[in-house]
Amino acid sequence: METLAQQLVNGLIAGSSYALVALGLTIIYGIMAVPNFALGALIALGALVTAVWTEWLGHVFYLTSLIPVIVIGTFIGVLTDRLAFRPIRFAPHAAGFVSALGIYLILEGGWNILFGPQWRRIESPYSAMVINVGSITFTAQHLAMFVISGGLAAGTYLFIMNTPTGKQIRAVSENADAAALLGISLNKMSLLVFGLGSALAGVAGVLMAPMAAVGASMGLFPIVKAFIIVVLGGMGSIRGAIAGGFILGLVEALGAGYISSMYKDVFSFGVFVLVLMLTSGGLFKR
Amino acid sequence: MPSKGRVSKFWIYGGLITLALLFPILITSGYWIHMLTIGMIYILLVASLDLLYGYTGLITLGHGAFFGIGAYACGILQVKLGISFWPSLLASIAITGVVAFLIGVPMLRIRGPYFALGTLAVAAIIQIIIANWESVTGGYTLYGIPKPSSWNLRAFTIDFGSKMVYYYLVLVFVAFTVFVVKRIANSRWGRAFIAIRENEELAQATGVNLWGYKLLSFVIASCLAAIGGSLYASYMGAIEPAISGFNMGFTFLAMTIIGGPTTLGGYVVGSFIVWVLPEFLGFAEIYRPLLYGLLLVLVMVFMPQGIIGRLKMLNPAIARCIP
Repeated sequence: METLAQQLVNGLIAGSSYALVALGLTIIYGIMAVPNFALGALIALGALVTAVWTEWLGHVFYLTSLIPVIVIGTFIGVLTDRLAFRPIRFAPHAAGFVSALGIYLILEGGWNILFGPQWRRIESPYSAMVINVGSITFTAQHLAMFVISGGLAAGTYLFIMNTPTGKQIRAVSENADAAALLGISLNKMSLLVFGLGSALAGVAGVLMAPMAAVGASMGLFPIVKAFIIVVLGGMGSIRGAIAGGFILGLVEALGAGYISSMYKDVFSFGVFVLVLMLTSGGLFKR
Repeated sequence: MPSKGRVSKFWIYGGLITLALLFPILITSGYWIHMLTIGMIYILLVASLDLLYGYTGLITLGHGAFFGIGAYACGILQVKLGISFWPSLLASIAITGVVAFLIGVPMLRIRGPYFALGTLAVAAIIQIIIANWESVTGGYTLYGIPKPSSWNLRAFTIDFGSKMVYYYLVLVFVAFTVFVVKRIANSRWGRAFIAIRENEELAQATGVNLWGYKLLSFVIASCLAAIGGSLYASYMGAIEPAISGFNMGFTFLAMTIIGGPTTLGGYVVGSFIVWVLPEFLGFAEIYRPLLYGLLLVLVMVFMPQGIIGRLKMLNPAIARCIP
């Protein structure tokens, strides 16, 4: 039973960062129907900026890099929407998908040139602090990640559900034409969700940075997992993305603990294909 | 007049084939023959993917998986079981076809963007399995895949160990693949594929068996990809699990889209822009993904029909001249 409790905690911690990326992905999908693969490159950006930031400023606390990451991430998100996605908004579905892949390649290639192809490590003062609760062990690093991603996910949820702007976003994702008739600017909402979604992915990158090898292509697996979550939760569903993130974290932790850690990713991809085949719109309807 | 069109088509295909035949004679540099051989294998893969993307309208990021399965099947049969190249090639096509069938049966019930995401997951699963199933696949690298043994004809010997001869071998299979794709596209099957691409519901309403034809397209495209994979494995001599992953799938899709689907000119232009041009311009490896991405986005925004598709739209005379 001790290991079960430990694995549940591991799953929840991993799930919190998954949920953050999935949230960014789902709000963009909800409005623009673009499966924005490029967010994978923004995860890498978050981690890389953190690496450079801590190198430049000496022994500055790594979480301060959240500020530049949010600013740069939002800017890139807005830019990609304006330059690549707005011109093809009314093109067939495939176009958005291919453009998103293109932007992912541009950004990943760009990071390789800007930051160099080497893999880096980031020091965090929290990594060495071990917390014991009963028989369960985790580091302060995990706790920080859980609290910050949980807080941001909750904040985004409240923003979308309770503010007038959030209502406009939901209106557009419900029915873009009707929303436009009521005077909601599609362009503005789209810029907003691209900025917000990209910033969230960047923040997820910062939080993952001390626990992963940091490099330009580090975002590929997380973004594929975010896709899995968004499909699990129903494309465009906000509650589904948060719940799906935790479910995938738990599935992976239990699969790695009880079956085989080598095939951990096969496990989550397999669940994904299974869910795709059995349901056509995800576990949670919007 | 149809006869006039046929005559010009004859000259165009004839010219293209002559050009392809003369390449290694005109360009004697071994390095460029190598580049062209790989480029030809890319053309083969693009043509096979086009059956799915261009004709049936299915976006797949997992085409690399079937290239990889074909390459590994052909390589493993030769290295571990000592079977010679030609039977291995046939077996590799059959194995890949069976795997594609087993994957396609459940997957092709998934529609729209979900299908593309599903193929991404399948490619990832296959790459992980190949990398971890060490006893069979050799783990990180499968070494020592031989080239086809040479043919001793009465007067002379065809030695596939020579780069130039291998180039011609690949060329034959490229011509075969393009012929198969075009032949299918102009048949009853091809018309069903196009009907599905244009409007799934309408196709279904007129009696096209959606799932059956999608499966047919998927299995044929995968079998053709296995030919490319086998040729690649034998040419390179060593293969890695990454060739079955989604990076490869991205590259094939990018080539198909950039060149322009459903045209031979598109296959050639797409493959060469993505593969040879960066090399020709002396681009360092590190700048390449950036260039591919930029090309993809520019093509999507300014010419969604691809470079050749856009050229064809300019003028019917040009359209007639491009195969």
